[in-house]
Amino acid sequence: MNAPHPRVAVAAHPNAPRIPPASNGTRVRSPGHNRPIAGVVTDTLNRLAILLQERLEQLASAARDGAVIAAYTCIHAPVELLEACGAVPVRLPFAADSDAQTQGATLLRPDACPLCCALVGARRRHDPVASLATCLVSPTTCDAMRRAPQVWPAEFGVPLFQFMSPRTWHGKASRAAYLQELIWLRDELEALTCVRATSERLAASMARWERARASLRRIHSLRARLDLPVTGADLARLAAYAFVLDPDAFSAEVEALVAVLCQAAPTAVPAGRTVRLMLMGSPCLASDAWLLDTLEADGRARIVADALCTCARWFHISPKAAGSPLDSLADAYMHQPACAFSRPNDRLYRFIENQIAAAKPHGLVLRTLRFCDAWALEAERMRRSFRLPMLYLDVDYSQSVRGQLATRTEAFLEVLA
Amino acid sequence: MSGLPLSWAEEAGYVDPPPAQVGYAERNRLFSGVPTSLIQQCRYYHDVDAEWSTYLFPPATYATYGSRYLKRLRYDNSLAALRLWGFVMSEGERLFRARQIGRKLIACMGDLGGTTPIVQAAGNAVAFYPDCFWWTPFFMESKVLFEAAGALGMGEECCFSRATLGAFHKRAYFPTPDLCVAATGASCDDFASVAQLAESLTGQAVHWLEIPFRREPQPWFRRAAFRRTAHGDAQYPIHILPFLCEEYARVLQRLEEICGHPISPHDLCSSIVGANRLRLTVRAIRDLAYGADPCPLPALEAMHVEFATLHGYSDPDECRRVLDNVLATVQRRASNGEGVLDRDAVRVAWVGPPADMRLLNMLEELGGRVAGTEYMINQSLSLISEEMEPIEALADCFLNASLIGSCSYRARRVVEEARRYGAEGIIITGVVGASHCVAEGRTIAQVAKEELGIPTLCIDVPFPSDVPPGQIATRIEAFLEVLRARRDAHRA
Repeated sequence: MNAPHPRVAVAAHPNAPRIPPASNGTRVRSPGHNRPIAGVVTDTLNRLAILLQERLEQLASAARDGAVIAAYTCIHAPVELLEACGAVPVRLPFAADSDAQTQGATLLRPDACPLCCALVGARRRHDPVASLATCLVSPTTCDAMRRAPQVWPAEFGVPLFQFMSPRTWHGKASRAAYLQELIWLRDELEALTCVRATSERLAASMARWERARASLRRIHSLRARLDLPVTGADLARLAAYAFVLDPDAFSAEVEALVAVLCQAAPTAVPAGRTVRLMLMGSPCLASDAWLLDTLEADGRARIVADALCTCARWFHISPKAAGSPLDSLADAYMHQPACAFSRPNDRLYRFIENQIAAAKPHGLVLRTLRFCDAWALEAERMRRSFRLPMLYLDVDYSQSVRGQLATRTEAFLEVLA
Repeated sequence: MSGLPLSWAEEAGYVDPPPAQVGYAERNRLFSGVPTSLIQQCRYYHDVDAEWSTYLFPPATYATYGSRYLKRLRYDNSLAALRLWGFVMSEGERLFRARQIGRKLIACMGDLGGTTPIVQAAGNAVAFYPDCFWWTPFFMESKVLFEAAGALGMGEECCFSRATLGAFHKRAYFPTPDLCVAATGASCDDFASVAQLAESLTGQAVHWLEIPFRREPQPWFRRAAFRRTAHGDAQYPIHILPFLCEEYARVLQRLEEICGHPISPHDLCSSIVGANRLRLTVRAIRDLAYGADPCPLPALEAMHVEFATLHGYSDPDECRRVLDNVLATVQRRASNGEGVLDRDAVRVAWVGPPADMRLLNMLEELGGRVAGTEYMINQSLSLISEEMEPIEALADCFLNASLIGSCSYRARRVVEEARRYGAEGIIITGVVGASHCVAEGRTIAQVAKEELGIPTLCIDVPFPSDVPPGQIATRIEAFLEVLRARRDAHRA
């Protein structure tokens, strides 16, 4: 079970995004082309990997010419606003491994959450995406993610723009404060880029990002169909690209994929029961797709829903096009599917319940990063609340845990099957 | 006998022995000499005039009720310190009595002193901190609360704060609060998680209070407007003051519903005046305890004094009397040139509440003394403006908090404290799994080195056990040796 899933080979490498192997003839020629669809997702991922490399080269060049590359740490930072201000948003960390974690831990504490360590470690060891950042935009989310970004200006000389992202969501005061913080952030970024985030620019940016998220929502609705070859791991990989690529380029690829999937003849459903799973917990980065591959290996399971900020919770953010763009943006981000750290976090539970009702998973997988208290401390409550079999995995970025996780995963799936 | 006896004790014919730290047995023996009339004077909830409200008992009384840890500590031998300990240790009982006499119990979690003046303004409400139950596994030398928390999903990935969830679940350590005002936002994630689980798994009524993040001026900011706190050195974005005011106003409104009567601005002003009086007393004690030579009050008692600013140990009126008594004692000792530690004790600034109180004893036994602290409650040591509108004054004061801003702000506070009391080194205590700790140690060490040229020792407080690990003692001892060597070199 330790052998990587074939798709791992075509995923962007965490440290050095590279061109995937040449196409073997299964490339999609046009949407709706009448051909077997088994390879279309792989083809799309291949193209996105190419686009990623091109994008990184473009951004590196642009940064040298003075462009502002605004890395952000959490989906509570509205990418639309960063873009409307003339900055290029990229989400960090793009990927992580044990080395990034270790390097970050030397500047934090060993018991800091691996994601925070990777955020620091990625810059320290000059990861391609992290190295692009000319400033860091960080909403104050969990405790660790409130403090870890502060290492960036101190150690790397990168300006940090931290703003309050309220944990509570029910009061007018919280919403007003969040809006004030966005206005401050806008003003600071405008001063940095010398670009005014007019309502028109913001509305245009919101439309671009909404298109990208909508395309992912379509894939999300298709992954629950077992007769289509789009898995939870595929969706997670696609979403990971969205955090770095230009949204229009990304959307075009994913929309083409959606078209193919919608028009193609269904494939045979694998014999035997395919276990339907829902995945939730700490962020799953591009480099964490191996876990999803492990869960879905050999078609024995399908991740039909998730509550990840790197996947479904992100693409379910959908600002209204009507009214003041900034107000609309603030509303959408304030009321996005909640993270476990929101208080009270009932909205998260409702989001999960809705996902469960729609996708009807047989079991839940809660995957937390070690010392990610916000999620880890919900484990028992989730077990009690959702009344579905739940596999709880508490991991870091070390490779050594993979064998054990594979064994636990297999056992869990055997029980469910 | 040492100098002037305290007036209240003097009237009853009691005189303190020469200042010293004593063990459990000696502390109990000294208690036997305390006149009954003095014991009868020491009562909480004075306004009730009840037979049951005495609290001046020796550590043995509280050890009998389960705080076995008290047998291992060393105590200041003054009557004032005995009274302080009795007052602190009787808080659990006091909360049950408060419920018995019809007062509303308001648990404040994670805001560390911000909302308690609002609760105390109600008159018929008692504020307390379930957060403080993180000491309990140490005091009771028991894992019961940790195990109870573990059954609700809070395991070792979480810091000692999880004991609080166990206490909520057990319903035996404090009465079920009428309301829990739980801080979230730029506060402590672990305590927010405790409150979340207490709400969802034990049915506790929770009112969420958003603590705003305090962004501080940076050289690269172009458009930010900041304001400085009325008393203190913190700067904050101007728009977060009205936000916090609204949050406090929501708390006020909820309290009025629970307490059944309005809380007027006059009530709030009176509460603020009382809080300021307490804070001034604590500041005066700190100045002597951390600054005077020889040290007139051990670190453990000084820590109890500092934490009194949070909520007056559930009876701020009596707390003021207790602390007046402590202040008189340390003033008398300082004026007489007396102390409880050697004059050449190595001066160390202590950062972070130690969780295991024996660490403070250990420092002193190894030849050190505490000279300045940063227990993350600095906002409760700042004075509250009596000129501003009361809610605004409370919010403005709270925005001094070290926990809600940047690591570098907290580092500056530590350095300022070390400078003020002439610390020769800094000890930072962390707790594995404590979410606020991730980046501060390194920053504090850097700033201390740059600005004061003094070294820093970071230690993690170990899990409660009968004996503190020898490794901690060895590290503190080695650190003190380094500091002594530096002192000798400096003198040479």
